[in-house]
Amino acid sequence: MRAVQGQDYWELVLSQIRRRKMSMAALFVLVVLYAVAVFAPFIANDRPLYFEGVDLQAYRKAQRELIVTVESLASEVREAGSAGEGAAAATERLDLEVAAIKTRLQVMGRQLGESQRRPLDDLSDEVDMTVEKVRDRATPEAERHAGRALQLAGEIRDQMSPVADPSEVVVGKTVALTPFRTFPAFQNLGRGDVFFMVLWILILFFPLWNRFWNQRILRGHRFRIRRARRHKMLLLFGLPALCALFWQGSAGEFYVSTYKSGLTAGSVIARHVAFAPIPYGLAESNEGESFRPPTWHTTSEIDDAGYYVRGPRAGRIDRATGIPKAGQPVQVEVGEPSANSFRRHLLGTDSLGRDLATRLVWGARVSLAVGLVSTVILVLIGTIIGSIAGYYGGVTDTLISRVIEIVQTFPVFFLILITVAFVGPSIMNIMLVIGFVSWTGVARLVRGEYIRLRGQDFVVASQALGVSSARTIFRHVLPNAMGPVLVAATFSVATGILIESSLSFLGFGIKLPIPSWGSLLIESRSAEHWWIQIYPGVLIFITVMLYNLFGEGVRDALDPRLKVTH
Amino acid sequence: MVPTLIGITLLLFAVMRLAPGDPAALAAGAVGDAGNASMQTTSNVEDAVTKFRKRYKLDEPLLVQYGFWLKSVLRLDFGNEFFRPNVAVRDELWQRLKVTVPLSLTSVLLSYLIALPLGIFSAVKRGTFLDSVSTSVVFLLFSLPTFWAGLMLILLFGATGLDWLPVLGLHDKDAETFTRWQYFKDLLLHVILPITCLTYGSFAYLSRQMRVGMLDVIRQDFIRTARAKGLAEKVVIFKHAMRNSLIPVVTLFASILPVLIGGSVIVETIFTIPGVGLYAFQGLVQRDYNVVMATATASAFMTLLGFLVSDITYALVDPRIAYD
Repeated sequence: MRAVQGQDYWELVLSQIRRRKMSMAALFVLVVLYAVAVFAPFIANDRPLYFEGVDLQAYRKAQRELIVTVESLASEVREAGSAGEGAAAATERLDLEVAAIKTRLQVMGRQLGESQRRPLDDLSDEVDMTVEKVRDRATPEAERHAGRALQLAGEIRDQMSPVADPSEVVVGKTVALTPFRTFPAFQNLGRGDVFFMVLWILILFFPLWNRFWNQRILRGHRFRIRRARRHKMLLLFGLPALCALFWQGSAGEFYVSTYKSGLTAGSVIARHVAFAPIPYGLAESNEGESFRPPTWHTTSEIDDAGYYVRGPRAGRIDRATGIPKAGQPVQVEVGEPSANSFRRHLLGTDSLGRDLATRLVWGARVSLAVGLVSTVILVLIGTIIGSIAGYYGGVTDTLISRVIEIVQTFPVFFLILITVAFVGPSIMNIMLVIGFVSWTGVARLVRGEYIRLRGQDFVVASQALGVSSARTIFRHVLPNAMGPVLVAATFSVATGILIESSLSFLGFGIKLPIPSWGSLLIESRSAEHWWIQIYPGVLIFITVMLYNLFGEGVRDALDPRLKVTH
Repeated sequence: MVPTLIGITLLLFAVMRLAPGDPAALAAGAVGDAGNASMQTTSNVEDAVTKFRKRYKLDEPLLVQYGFWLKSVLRLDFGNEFFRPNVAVRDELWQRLKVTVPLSLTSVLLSYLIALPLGIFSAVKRGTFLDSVSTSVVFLLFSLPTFWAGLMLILLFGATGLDWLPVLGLHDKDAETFTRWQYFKDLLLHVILPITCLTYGSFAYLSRQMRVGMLDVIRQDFIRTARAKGLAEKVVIFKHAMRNSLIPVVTLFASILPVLIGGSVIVETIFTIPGVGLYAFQGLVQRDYNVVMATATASAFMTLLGFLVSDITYALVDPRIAYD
């Protein structure tokens, strides 16, 4: 039989929270919402997740540009020769040209078979030789190698035009491309994306690896478990940071990729291609689908000429000008559902014909981040100021309490609105301003807790042992004062999201390049475009509600006296 | 009270100084944008810059600037609007206050009138189906963003939806020709949606607090005593329990008011109601510092007034509290 063991403060709190079904459910849905935000590139993207096939268009582009880059290499070599002594800058430019040539060769080479690649390898060797000779100041030889490289590049241009079908090959003129495989959506991830993806997975599986660690590695030894908490935190943030550090991908780019248009035009030929569930890019517009209602709705049906069949926009006469509108047929690219498929634009499109669902998925990143980061800022400020006021008391306390009183007197939203309007709306400014204006609630809570704890034995003991004030404040008192802060923080994430969306609604919010839910909502104020106004609002509402639900669970767990339900 | 007042003016002043660069140039830039690109504009801009600099004493040290600014606030002199130089901000603000204050007061009153009975009912019937329904509805309302609620109300009741209620402004276009009764009816129809929008948030907050307070009191010993000595349930609830749980809820008036004033910016913008909130919004959009500072000061003082009223009612409701 195991002895009944005492639990410390946080063990009690966590077990209490775990017992509340509603708030655990809210937490689960929140985790899913964050997953949508974190994994947005795999949910809504115009870059294929997986592509196997030939890319004639990329090959042609590289082939066309290859000769130009080799030509400029040759001219750099001539200049380096005539410049004589001051050649350091010239070799630097030379390196740039070499890098440009190598990139083109790589793009072409990955679509060529071993034997076909021979001229490319020769060219690569000649380029290397050229640079080597320039370094050795052997100008005539360098020019000879450059000339040879130029000749090879000319041959590649004339004799290696691409065709997709091996049976169409004309020897000495064209080559058949070999299919290659690539993961465009993955390659477009930035370091930040990778960090949060790994972090999210670690958090999701926390119960699993936490239990494994506790029972297998620490063998259920409770003091060792308690001590291991810090190591777990380190792992939780360290592992994602490491992954991000070693990630070799281009940083996230938002411009529209060429895969879909190439596939549609036939210049990219896929053997296998897999698109994200929502195959549209964040910035991908479609002229024929400006303000198209959700495609499951009857008013969104469009005929082949680009005219609406039903609903308020059905008339072919423009009501404003009186002349017939020019029809604009809907362009359907490869990978997209057909023009009138109900799942083409499940949530409609905006003024430029961009898919609203895509923009909502990406917008979740901004909205959720603003809530979290502003909360971190305000908790930090509030905790530090509240600790100082509560621990020292006296004049310090009076002064800080007065400041808190003054800031609280002011209508918070109004203050934030003015400040953001004056300092200029950017995501960082908004988070900072929310943090710097709304720390007072947390500061008051922390101050109260400190006043409660100040006289207790463990604090007096720590002071008697000669521990520094800073250590007493942050290592001994603070952990015992953080309960109410946790509750306030949960609610303030909701408030942060609300404030940001209200700011965006008034036109003082974040606009580019990724929209927030609030700024999506004001894409149109016309009641005719109801989907623009409904869906982003629903998401804001649900998120705020979930945070409030979870926050109530945490509050009940920490302070049963305040319980609302029973 | 007085230190708080001074603190608030300091805070306002600091916010105004937050603007990057020279406020005068920014203000003049706004003037320049408004005027058409004629030869006159340059001299207008220069004129505006000098005026602004003179007005806010921008060439003096900060403390002196603050002193002069405080003096003009105390004399209720907020200057003129940038775009309508012959309109004094004070007069316009007064006109707008006459719209916003009645709206806010009605909203507070309404939310108390609905929230208190609902909270009490919910607490008395705790654990029943009706209680859980009302608790859930109140919880949902509590999480509903004001601006979105406004948009949805317009979609639902406006011309494109059910077409039951007008959604813009406070009066119809031809309100001048109405009889007094028609005018009143028109006004009433126009304010239904904005007041709903302003009210539901504070209503939800209040009724939750009332329920918690009531539950807290009902558990106490004196309530058990009251029941034990055979008092009627009505007397126990309304005389013993309600009065005691009212005290904290009444003081919440002070914390509702700032939220209400912030919310009025949103609600008045959605429904284009010519109140202080819309005035502040327009000032911000046009970067009209005089208007922004005036509206900010006004809302801060309205909030302070609310605190004062709440303190006084506290003393009135709870005889144990006395101000020496």
